[in-house]
Amino acid sequence: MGEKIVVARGVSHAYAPGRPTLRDVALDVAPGEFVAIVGENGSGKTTLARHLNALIQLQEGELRVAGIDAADPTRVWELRRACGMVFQNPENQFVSSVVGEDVAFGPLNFGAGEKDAQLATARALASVDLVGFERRDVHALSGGQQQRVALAGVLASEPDVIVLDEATAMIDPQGRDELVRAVLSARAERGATIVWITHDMELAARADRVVVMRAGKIAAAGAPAGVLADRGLLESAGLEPPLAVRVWEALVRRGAVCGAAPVTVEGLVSALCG
Amino acid sequence: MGEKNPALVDVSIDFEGGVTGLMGKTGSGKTSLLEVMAGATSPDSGRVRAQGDGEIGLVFQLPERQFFEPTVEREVTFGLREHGLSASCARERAAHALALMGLDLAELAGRSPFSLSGGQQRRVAIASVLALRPSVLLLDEPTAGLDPRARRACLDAVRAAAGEGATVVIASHDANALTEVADRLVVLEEGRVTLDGPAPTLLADAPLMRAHGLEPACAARAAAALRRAGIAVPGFPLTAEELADALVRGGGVS
Repeated sequence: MGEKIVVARGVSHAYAPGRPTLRDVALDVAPGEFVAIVGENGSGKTTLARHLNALIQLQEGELRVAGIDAADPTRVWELRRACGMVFQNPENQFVSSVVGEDVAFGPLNFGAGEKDAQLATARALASVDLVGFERRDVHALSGGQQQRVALAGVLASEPDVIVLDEATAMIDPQGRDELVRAVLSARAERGATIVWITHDMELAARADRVVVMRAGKIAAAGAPAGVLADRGLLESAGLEPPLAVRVWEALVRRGAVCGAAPVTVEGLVSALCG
Repeated sequence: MGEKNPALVDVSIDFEGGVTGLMGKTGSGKTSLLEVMAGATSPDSGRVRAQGDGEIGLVFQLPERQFFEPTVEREVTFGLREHGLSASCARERAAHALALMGLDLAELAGRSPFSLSGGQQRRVAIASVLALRPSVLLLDEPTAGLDPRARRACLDAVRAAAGEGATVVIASHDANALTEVADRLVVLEEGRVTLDGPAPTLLADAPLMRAHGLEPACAARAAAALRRAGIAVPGFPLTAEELADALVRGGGVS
């Protein structure tokens, strides 16, 4: 493993004195890794994510993202360029109602010339499969298309890390699938690191690593096959295992199968076919 | 809504008790139907009639669209105070409704609703409508962004409201949530009702749901994937337990 793209050590944060939201969080993320962060509402997921691109100021601990010290106020813009965020509600993140202008805002804001910004916009829209949408009104698009525009807006600044904060919660299943495809293809094409906060255990099962947050701390982190099959761990964090695990457990109780539970439907199919 | 792209087209539908799930892709008219029923939007033509004199409560898709009071306590007691309830009575009802959603009034009373996390905002929005004990309860994507515990609390509260006689309509993309609470399923496509029937049967029918551009319940999707791989899955399982039973029954696992 070479240099880590995200290095957090002892990160703590409190919105109000005496009520910490994050407690002593340590997290390393490797370049190109896809990390899913799961945890119940209020467990600190969003607060952690917002530290990664300086939407929240570091109060305690150390945090470096793409080599940039998050505690250095002179490097906030650099950090935001290196780490882009896609939020839950697509409508809240647009700066222009015209797709092309919205996507170009990032690069222009970070100092790119008009021509470079246009090139970056075209490339980003191609990445999310929205070629030809430049003149469209963002508010006339479907939820999935809007989230892909938001993702393109992030991609246009060529970030090293893309953080998605429950970005599929408000869009329909088709839109969710479109967004997941676009994110994974951006990762494959550009080698971007993905940090995805989600309640969707089926999505978490597709990550390289799952981080479970509980009461502001990291309760566990590891490969989906281990973490998502650990009912005790998940329940202690207010979570439920994915469907494949629940079906497997029910089959174990019926004496029909034994062994480690698969965490995806594909895994369940191959376990039962084998 | 304008004439060119009507959000709803000649919809005729009755609701009477129970829990109805309203599904459809983004833009299919779900939110418009709820808003028209709640009187929050006027239809260009046609009419909405509610029997009796009970209250109609609508939980908006975006909680921040619903909030306008400076504190959680004022927000959740607003409707109750408008109905002339005493401050202490309103507070008690608000505390009860928040508790149903797993929230503590004492802890949140003085906070601004806008300062809460997304999941807390949604639960406060639901609680402020539940507190009114409406006879018609309309919820727009109530489980979006909720963790399993909050989601369970929300679905239990919906069931309880229906159990007490309320007519509940839930617009949702979440087939798994509807599997747990809905008796009836109505599907909208481009403003028209294209499917209306018993929720358990429809939600378990993966090919039918897909044909309407919708995602079936998780267990139904898994059942379809298992069948494609040649594993016998008889019936229409809707939950992990039902799927395990079906697999044992089908003889694909010993």
